[in-house]
Amino acid sequence: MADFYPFWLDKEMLKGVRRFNIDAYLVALEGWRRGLSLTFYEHRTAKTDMKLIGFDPVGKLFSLSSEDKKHFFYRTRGDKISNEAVDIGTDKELAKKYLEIAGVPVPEGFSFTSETSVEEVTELIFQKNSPFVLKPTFGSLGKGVTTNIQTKEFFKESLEYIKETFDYSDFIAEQHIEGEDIRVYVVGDEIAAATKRIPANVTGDGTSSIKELIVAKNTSRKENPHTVTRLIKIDDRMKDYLKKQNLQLSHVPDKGETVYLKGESNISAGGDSIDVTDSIRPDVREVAVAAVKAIPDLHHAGVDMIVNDEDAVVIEINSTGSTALHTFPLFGESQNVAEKIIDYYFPETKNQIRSNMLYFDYRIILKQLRSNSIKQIEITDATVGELYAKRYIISGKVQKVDYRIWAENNAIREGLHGYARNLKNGDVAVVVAGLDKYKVDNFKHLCYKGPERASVKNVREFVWKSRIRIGFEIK
Amino acid sequence: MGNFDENWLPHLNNRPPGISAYRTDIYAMASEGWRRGLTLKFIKAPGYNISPSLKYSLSDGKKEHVFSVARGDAVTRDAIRICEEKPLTYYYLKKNNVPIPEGESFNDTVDDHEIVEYGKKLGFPLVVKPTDGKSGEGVITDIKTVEELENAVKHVRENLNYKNLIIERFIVGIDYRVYVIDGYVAGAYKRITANVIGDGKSTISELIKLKNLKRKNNPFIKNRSIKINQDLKDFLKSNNYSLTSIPAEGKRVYVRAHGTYFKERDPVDVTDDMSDNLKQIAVDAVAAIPGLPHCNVDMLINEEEKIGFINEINSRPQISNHLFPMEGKARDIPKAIIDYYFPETIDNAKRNKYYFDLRFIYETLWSGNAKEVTVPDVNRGKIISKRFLLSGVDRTRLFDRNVRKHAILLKLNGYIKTLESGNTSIVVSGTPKRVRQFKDILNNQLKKRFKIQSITEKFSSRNLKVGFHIIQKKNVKAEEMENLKSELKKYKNQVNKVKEEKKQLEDELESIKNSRSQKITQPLRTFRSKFKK
Repeated sequence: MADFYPFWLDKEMLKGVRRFNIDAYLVALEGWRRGLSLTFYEHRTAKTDMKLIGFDPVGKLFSLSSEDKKHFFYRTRGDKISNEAVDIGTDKELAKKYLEIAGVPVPEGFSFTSETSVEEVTELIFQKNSPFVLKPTFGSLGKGVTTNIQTKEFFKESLEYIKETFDYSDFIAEQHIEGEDIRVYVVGDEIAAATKRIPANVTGDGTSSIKELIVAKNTSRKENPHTVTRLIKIDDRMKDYLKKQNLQLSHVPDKGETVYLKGESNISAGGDSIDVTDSIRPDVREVAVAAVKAIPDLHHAGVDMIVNDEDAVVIEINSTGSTALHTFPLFGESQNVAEKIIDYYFPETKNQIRSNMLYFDYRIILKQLRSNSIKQIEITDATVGELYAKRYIISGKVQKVDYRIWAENNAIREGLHGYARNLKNGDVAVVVAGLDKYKVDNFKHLCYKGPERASVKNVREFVWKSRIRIGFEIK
Repeated sequence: MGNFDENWLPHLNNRPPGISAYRTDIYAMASEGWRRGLTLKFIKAPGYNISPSLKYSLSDGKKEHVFSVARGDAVTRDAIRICEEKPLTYYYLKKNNVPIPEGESFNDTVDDHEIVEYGKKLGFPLVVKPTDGKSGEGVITDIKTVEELENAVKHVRENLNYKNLIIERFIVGIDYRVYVIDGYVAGAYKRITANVIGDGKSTISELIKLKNLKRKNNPFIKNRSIKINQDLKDFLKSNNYSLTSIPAEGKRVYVRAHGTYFKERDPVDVTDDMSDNLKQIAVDAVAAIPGLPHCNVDMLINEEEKIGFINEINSRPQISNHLFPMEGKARDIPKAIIDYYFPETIDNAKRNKYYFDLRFIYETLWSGNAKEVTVPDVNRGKIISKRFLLSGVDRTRLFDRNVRKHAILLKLNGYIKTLESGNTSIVVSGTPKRVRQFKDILNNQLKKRFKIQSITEKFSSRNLKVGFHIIQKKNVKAEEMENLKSELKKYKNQVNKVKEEKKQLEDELESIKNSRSQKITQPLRTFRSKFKK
């Protein structure tokens, strides 16, 4: 099974953290590890007027602050990005105007509303003899986007489908450009990551049916925190799409044969993500950076592009673009977009030595924020620097004598992080971590003493390289 | 939560679970400000490696005050120091002619002999105590002879290792705790020796049991039961009682010697009984210390002679005994303190319906995950609570989340849970307008979408944890597992019982075989068996 976690993250840290909460966590964690103070807020706070978008903004609003400045973030979006820039990004028609003015290549097209007569629109579209894309002006996550429309029937059918399913009333029709669908995350003058997206697909092994291949692919997607909530769904649209290729779910593709299951390449529609940060062409980089610059006070954003051999056009700007997409690609290298964002807001912390071992428990905070049991929570400041950790296994009469509570009290007094756990064989495992090597090593001597009721026979020591949760935990 | 004494403050009956001992003080104080609409924030003392003393702040948006248990930031650092060091306290009290027991403090440069000489001059009976001892440790009272004095000094210095000590005249009196704030006495209680009051029917032993039940009900002293031990029996005997004596109705019988078993004493409210003169002594004592607007004063009071002395001034006292006396009325010290810091909130409506999850806050701060937690504000306007009974709805995750989303967007507190009948109960509490809006959403949006069969509306009088909580359905599998486990246990017990019975029967059989009559008749039986052949 592929391991999707880069060296600075792991499964335990992200346990129970899903979807856009991952974005918030990755950015918050990066800033926090550099020693910035981190506070999470309830979703409606008078402390900032940042625009909160999406179905569930809870747990995604936080601030990072150093001694002399403070910045608010909503998911990946920082407060340098103005609310006007967010509005422009949401309105695809307006965004396109800004891009056009700045000379950034965009597909040709026009917009219309549900008031406009369908005949009139159809007339206008089919004047040009080329395929086109239909999308809702204020849509997100690729909802209702239909590509490669070539016939009047398919157009009407698609429009009907969008209207019924999503309740949109403003639309854009634009030229369909063949090419790769690439999301580029731009921070200032640089690109932090580029990820290619291809429509949901399976590759045959010569024995399994399409349906079986989908199940197998989903098993792998479940291991990836970004795609676990974006599995390939078998629905009527997929069946129709297969039917157009004269295929059925029961069909067994040849070994190595790739079958595409959907037209759109969004990851939420089951698409694959492939990291292309290092291989992206210079002209594509330039267009992406120019696109972000075209919108006043945008600073950093995710740019959706279509790239082919000759051109690179921008089709959308996401002011709250995901980092999880780039950090957890299904194929290729993980990119640390959060690092680039924090560099941009707090450049003075760029070279701060920080430990990738340390994390804070986001899940428990989320639980409290979601039930509205707390209004605001400030996370304990991270210990900044290179952490040194040891795992001690204590044997003897060490269980049921309050050994773990004793370990907790002593670790806290020594300023060490870690945990204590009872092992099944009657031993106790204590992990301690800190900047001071002496304190960590000396804890072994303390372990020999233990609480009054304990009688310690032996303490074995091991090097600890895994994660450390801030504070001390009794497991 | 058991019975709540009618003399106590009704709003303190809504404490969240898991709050006892000094956390009761913190909860009583913090919630007093919070229920008036002040913003409440819990703060862990700075620095990860400092012991986790928890502070909290209350703010009205313009000013903020930080508290440590019942001590607010109007108490200056100097005042705290003066109270911590007894010789300093006495210096200020003496200077202002506040009565203190006559005596002197000695540091390690003075030898034992000199101290004893001083004691002799002062006159018996005497008290010896360490200068900076904590909670009564090393205090030796009622010293009557030179020999006792010598031993006491030696004990404190050598066995207990306190080199600095105080010698005072021993005053026969009762321990009073007087809460002074802003120049007046807000409450006073005394602690009387462990006792029971007869009802004319029950034995002392039964009365102690009843008393312990009552103590268990008291959030502050619930872990301090009266233990029936030899000391207790001996003491009763010396007073011509025994555990089986039946005291007359209304007769108070002490079960411990005066000045022993401090933890078994009863706090009794005496605010109204204390004379103005004695109250004035407490007020004067507090006024004598600069920068001390509120605190507890420990007094020794001789009730017969109506004289009192200051024993100690405590800038960070516990206040629970004022709130939960075993006899007499509760005195609302938190109200007095919050009134003092935020006088403009005196007439604010008090939100008694809600409580906050202090236990979670403690755990989060103590485990080191967070250093500050702010509690959601309570709304200031009128609030109502409604309960909606839903039948025929499938409580999916999506449904729960939708309900919660709407409740939280409307700033409603409450919960959703499944009743035993299988119906779903949703309780929401907030402004009438928002509760109505929630009802509309329930009837117009959610009913259709989640195929709710019927919605009945009822009033709800429950106290609610702030926030909106999804209470999970009991996991059916886990429940089944639990049932199976208990059944297994039952069978195991039965098997053990049968085994035991079997063993008993075997033993009996064995003893029958070995019994004398068997042995005596053995030859006969042998003979008979032979004969049978």
